[in-house]
Amino acid sequence: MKKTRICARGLWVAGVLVAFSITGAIGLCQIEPSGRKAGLIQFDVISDLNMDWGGYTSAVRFARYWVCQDYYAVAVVWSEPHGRDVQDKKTMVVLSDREGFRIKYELDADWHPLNTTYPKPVGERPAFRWGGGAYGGDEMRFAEAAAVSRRVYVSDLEPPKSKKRDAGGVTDVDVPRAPDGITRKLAHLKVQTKDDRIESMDLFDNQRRPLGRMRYEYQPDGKVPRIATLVADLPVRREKLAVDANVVVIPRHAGAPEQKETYRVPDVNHVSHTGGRTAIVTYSDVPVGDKVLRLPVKVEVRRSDDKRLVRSARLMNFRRVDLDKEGVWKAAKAFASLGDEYWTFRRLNAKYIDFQPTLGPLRVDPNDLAFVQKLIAKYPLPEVIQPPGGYRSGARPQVTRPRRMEVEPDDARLIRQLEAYYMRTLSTPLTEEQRAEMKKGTIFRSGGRLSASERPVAELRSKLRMILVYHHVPVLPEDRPPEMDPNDARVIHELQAHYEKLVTQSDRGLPGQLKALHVLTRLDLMLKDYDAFERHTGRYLQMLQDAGLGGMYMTGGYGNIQNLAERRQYDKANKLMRQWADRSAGANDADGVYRFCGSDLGGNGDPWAAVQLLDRFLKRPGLSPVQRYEGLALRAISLDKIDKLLADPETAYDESRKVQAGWVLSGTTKAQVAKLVEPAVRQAVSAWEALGPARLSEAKPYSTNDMAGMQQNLMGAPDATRLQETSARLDRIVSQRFGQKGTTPRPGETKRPAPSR
Amino acid sequence: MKRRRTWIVRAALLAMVICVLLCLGMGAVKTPEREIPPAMRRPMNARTAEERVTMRLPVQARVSMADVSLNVREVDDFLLTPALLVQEAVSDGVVLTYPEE
Repeated sequence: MKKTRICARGLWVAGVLVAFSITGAIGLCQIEPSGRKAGLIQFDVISDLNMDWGGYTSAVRFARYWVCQDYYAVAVVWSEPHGRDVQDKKTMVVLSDREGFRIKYELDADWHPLNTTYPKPVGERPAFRWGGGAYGGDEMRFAEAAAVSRRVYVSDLEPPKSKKRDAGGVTDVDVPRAPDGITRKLAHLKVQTKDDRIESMDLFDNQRRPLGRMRYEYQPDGKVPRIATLVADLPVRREKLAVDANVVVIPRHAGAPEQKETYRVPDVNHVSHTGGRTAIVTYSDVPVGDKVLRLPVKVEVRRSDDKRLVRSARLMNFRRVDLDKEGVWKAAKAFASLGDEYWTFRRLNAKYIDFQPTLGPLRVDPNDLAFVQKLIAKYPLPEVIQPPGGYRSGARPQVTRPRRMEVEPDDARLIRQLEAYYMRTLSTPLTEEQRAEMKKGTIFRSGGRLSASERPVAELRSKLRMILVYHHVPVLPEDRPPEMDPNDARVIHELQAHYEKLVTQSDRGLPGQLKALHVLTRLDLMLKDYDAFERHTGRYLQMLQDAGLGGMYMTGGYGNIQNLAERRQYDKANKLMRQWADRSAGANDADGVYRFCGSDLGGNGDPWAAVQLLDRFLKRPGLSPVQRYEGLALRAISLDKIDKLLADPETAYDESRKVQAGWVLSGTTKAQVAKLVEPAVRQAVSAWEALGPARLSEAKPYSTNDMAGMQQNLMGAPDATRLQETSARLDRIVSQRFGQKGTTPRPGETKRPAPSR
Repeated sequence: MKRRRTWIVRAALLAMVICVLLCLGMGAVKTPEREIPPAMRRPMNARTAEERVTMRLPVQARVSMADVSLNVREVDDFLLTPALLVQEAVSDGVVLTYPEE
């Protein structure tokens, strides 16, 4: 019954599209810009993606597309940096036609949502249920459905005589509703036309809420108007965050019996696309087979409010292909497939590079809490001591900072084992009852998920974790990857020969060559052949530079420098860093450089790299006062971080920080770094003061990063911008170094106190 | 029975006190002095416990966590944009527009 209904809907969609097409072709074939049927076309796309978050701030995705009027397919062949992406999309293949949305993901072939076909219509996008950077790629089908539901057909504008047209040439159009269950989000249009060409078009939904504004620019030459640019202004979008569930509140009082209270809570209203988006699509004449087609060749999406580039795509290598739909699906899968050699490489990579140590069986009773507490007591941890009379007394709590100790290797192993054991205990699988309630959409909120018996375990785990973080923990023999197996060495040499050939094959295009270079650099690391690694990195960077991928040069190149530093190849790392910093500073704008410098996987995680990059970037002429201030502030923050790391080796509690300190000291001294910090902070503060009114608005020291969500929501405090967060970080350094309190400006303040000179 | 309060009520009251102090002390909110921010006021005026919980839940949520994923969604969905743009250009009777992502 259901299938019959789906088929009937499918036929309806097909019927409607055919009707629209025929009407368009007969009645309004002159209106521009509109499509022309052109058969199946294959092309490649390089998408450059910018992100404002702690992860990779720049990612590049390489994909091949097959598109015709009835269906399209996409195959993601590679992504950077180093095979990663914002979400790892490589090997993903999609084919969408009128019947369904087919998706396949070789990297995780057992995960059903990414290896199935979703029948059409796919329905409305559900309330958003993701957080922290996660997103189910299968939900792309809703983006397609939304795009199709607001498509404009030539027939929507027909017949023009029946529409109201005002003196300014603007026509109001009520878009016909689609019959029986076919959703059309588009309900109303305001179209400005001139000489059979659309100048602009405003799209509205059935409540007259704007969906977007399209503006068109045409080639000035020629008799037939040819679209040159489409500029789409897209508004901030309403979103629902998924809650729609029963919330169970369990009152908690000592000795009181448990009594649940259940409340039904709807979804939460929210927005996405903050700041709005402006998408600019450039069209060009492209020879495809024996025809010349007008096709999109470049897409740029910017935030509408501050004009920052958030992503772009270059479309290229258009050609006509002669395949049927199943042929396209096969071609797409073959194109995206990693190949047997890559899977062999992944196995070796997991064994020698991304090695996970096995600590062996736990040799003590984890339920012997007295023993565990004694172990914890051996390594004192910082404690917060409240003043007599509590916080009401006005006195500040005291924090004890015991001496950092060297953890004995046997203790280190035991602490790690116990911590992992308690972690597993606390994340036990759900009971059948809990599963049943989850299926009903019930959320438990009981003042923390932990039961009374679990809380002491959680406390022990937390203390064990703190010991590992606070004290000096030795590297155990188990932490080292295994010695190279002769058989593996032979396989590695075979892989090297295979991928060396691929690097030189231009028919594989840039993504094929980058993939081959990535494998080669990892094989070099396995063999500890750092000369070869340096050589391959040089080729990798040259390819990125030649392709005009400046953001990826910075992000991906830094990853390779870090690989060398981690292996204490400081000379090679420093040599590469000089080249990397010079070219990254030249190839990126202020937004790109500062995003990288503030990211945990970039300059925030490695202040030394940030300083090198900023030293060069700040020499660039033409920076605005705000851009100059932000760069100087980030430089001061990075230098302060390095200075603290070097001045107090006790803070070098983990291996990566020790590596960082060793690397810095391979090129300079503690004293030299210390000399740089205060002048850098003063310079940044002076630049801030010189901003005039912007110093208390655009560059106001203000942070929401450290604010609890509830506190921010209750106060209705707006999210701090990147620049404001940077100012707040600088402010804290000024307080620490110059002993000034409360430098965050208050409403009545006009000037932030300057550091003492 | 009256003395029993849920942990949510106590946590919210404590948070409100802290927030009021912060608001008045730091001047971080542009509401008139001594006025309680609407997000705090609304749950206080709720008629039923259910309504109160409903109002508090969004207040407690850290929406910036969802914002990061919404950004990722935009980037992920951008994978389809070139296909949809070219499909419009090679389909009869379709006006060229920009799709959603």
